[in-house]
Amino acid sequence: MLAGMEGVLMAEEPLAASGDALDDAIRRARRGDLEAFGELMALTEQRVLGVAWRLLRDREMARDAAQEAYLRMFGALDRFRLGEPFHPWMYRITANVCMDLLRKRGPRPEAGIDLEAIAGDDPHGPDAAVLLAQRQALVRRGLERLTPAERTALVLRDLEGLPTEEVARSLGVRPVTVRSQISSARAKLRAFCAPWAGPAKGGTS
Amino acid sequence: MTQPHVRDLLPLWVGGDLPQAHCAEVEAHLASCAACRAEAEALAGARAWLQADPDPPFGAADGEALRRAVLAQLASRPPRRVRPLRSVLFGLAASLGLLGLGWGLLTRRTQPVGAPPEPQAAQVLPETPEPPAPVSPGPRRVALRRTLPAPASGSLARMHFQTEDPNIRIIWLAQAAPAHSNPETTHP
Repeated sequence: MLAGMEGVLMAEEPLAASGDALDDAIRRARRGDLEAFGELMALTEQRVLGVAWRLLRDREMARDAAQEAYLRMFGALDRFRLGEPFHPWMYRITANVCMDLLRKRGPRPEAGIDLEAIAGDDPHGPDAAVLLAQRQALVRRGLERLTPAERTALVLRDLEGLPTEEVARSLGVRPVTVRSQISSARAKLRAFCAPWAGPAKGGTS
Repeated sequence: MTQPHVRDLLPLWVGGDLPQAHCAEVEAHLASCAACRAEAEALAGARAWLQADPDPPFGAADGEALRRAVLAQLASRPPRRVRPLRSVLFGLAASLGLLGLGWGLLTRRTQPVGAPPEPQAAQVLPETPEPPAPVSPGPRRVALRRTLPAPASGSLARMHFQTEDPNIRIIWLAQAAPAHSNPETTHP
């Protein structure tokens, strides 16, 4: 056993003494253990599917993206530094796959939106479901006007709730870059939705 | 803090992403500026709509299907060889050894400028084709007797072939190799 050496060269490493199921699955999967990789997937697949869907807004594409993301993760597991948080690395791969798909897909035509329905100010009335659906369609349209980097930063920060530093690690950029992207994304979304957005209920999170 | 500058910070402020040092200044400004307050509210409203996003439409069954698909693809690939450290180091050492050997051979083959060429077996004359049969009736094998020419540096070499017919002698001229010959080398 070569003490003190780990990481790039696959030294013989003992199984983790810690009870962290994800860390244990990662260590075993790095040796090519498919069962362990299946356990890793079970612990993370809802996040990966969720992020893929929020970025792509298409169920089938999101499933394809998640599949491709996991295949890339398996191939790159030996380059993942044990001890580092896994989720930023996972998000980065997922986001890269989604951005590749977005570039290939290009802009797509949006279904018509009933703008008058969106402007309704009774979110709890009989047409609440319709109102909500229309607003969500408007937001989706607004998101499509963002750059891939802005969209990814906004989704990870405002929808996945990741702290700015973790978003930065996920995207492989500095936190100041993430703040710039988020600021730009929120301003663009506001400009797009402003004609129909009513007064806010609470300003900060 | 000027008004345009506060407006630039509002998208970060509404999401709690503004560094603490700037928050107090922004809030103090908002208390006195209706335009910036309206802008902040519009930003917060759009953000609220964004966060009203429905949950992704995937359940446990979708996760299982994804897992099956990925694991099936991985199982059909050749297994990843995880090389233990010793074999990696051995391979590295072997590669370095081969590299050193190749370098040594390369430098040995490379001649420095001005050095005389290696001596060649100048007396080893090229194989001569069998000379044509003498012009005489009937096929007859020609017996050859070769005499080695005296080597002359850089000049033509002459080879004399005496046939059985005393009237016919074949003289073969060949370009001699440069005069760095080894006198010990004889033609077989």
